[in-house]
Amino acid sequence: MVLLASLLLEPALAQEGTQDRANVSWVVAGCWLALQVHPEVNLGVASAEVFLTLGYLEDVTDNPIVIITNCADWELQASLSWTPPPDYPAEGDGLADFHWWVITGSGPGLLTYQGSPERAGDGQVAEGKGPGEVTLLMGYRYDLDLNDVPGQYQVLILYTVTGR
Amino acid sequence: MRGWFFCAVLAVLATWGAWGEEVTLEFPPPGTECPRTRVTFTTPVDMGVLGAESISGELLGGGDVLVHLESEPMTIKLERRGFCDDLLGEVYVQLVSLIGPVRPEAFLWRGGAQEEYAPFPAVGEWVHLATLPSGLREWRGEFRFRYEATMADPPGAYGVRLRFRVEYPELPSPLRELYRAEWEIMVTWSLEGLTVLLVHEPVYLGTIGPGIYDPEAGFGALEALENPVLVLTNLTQMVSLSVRSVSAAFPPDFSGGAEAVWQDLALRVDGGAYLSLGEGPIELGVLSGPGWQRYLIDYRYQVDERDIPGEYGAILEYTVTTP
Repeated sequence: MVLLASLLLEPALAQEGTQDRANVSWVVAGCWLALQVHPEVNLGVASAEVFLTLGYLEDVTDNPIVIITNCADWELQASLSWTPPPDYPAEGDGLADFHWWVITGSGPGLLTYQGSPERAGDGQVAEGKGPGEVTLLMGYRYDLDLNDVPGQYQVLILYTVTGR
Repeated sequence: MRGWFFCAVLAVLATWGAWGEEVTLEFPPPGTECPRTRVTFTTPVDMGVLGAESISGELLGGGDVLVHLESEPMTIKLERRGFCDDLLGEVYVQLVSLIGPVRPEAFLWRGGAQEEYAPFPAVGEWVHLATLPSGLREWRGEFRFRYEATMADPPGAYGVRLRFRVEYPELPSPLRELYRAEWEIMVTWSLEGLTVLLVHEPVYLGTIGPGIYDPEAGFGALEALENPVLVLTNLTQMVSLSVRSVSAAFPPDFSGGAEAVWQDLALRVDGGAYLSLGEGPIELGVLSGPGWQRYLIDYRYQVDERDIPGEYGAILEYTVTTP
């Protein structure tokens, strides 16, 4: 009987809550930038009427540039090259007549942008602080003059965004 | 003739006060003619308490969950005195009875001629252990016991009674019973009320680089799949598993803070739908009654532009609760 009494031990009480922890980790390696530029823009045809009335060709609608980055600082630069018709005179203004500017810019961290429609040639388009997504709506204009001989004109704008 | 046996049993019972101590008995009692058998053994053999540390197997792998208790070796020493050691002796063992909710097929033993663990064939059935050849004055047998529990075994006290016998078949029948030696030992153990939670090792989701962004599809995600979490219990009531966010680590300039980490970190169980840890504790599953369940957890971190360079981490807490 002594033995049986000793064996009838009370079972240990179940724990009300049992806990254990899991550790999940990941790394973001370096900063990175994604640049999305609108498709090709056709400024139109410089007819005699356009030449005599407006004096320029322009596109100011729906030309977005989107910068997505996790970098702390970023800068967008534009570098231009152009291909005029073969007969384009050497004394022509060339790229000086082609203007680009930021019509509006939006997004967190956007510090400055080049908003003057008079801007021509290479230069800084915008700069900002990341991380974030910034959208710049671009305008393009080509001032017509008598050096603009008939033919196809093409401007290649190389946008480069850098960050750190 | 049974009087000697009862005397022996009484002698063993008298030793139970001295818990787990060595017992020496002589058969028949001193003063009787040979053959005299002197046996020394230990009783009871306590295998201890089956708790969380008794669980083994590839708990977080794909294998079965094994829960067992094993005894220390128990030695039985037989000495044959007098001038009768030229008699052939036979040693047997028998499972006499079960104490508590023992499943006899789960109680295993090894010793004597039986080298591998095996259950007793049936309660009350003798199993031959050894033959004592003539001329052998001393024999030692080492025994081990093992109980292979399942989560269905309820908490409580368990035990078995084992009876050993030495007899001399060459003696004429009336003397065989007189000089037969029989004694009993007990093997005892107990099961705790047990609820165990085992969580996988630390998980590394990977590295976020420029390739995580696709202009067409947007930002990708980091994933780590099938991280096991094991819940087992021998309680009869329902137990439930949940997880909650505890703390997050991120670079100092990370703008979203911990809240952003929890919003973007999600998990799912067994291929279900991803649930964000930012929404509070997540119920992962319920175990209704004794048993075990291995949950496979997938983690997913949705990347966005706010994820600045640096190291990120999250500590989650899994909890098993019983009502």
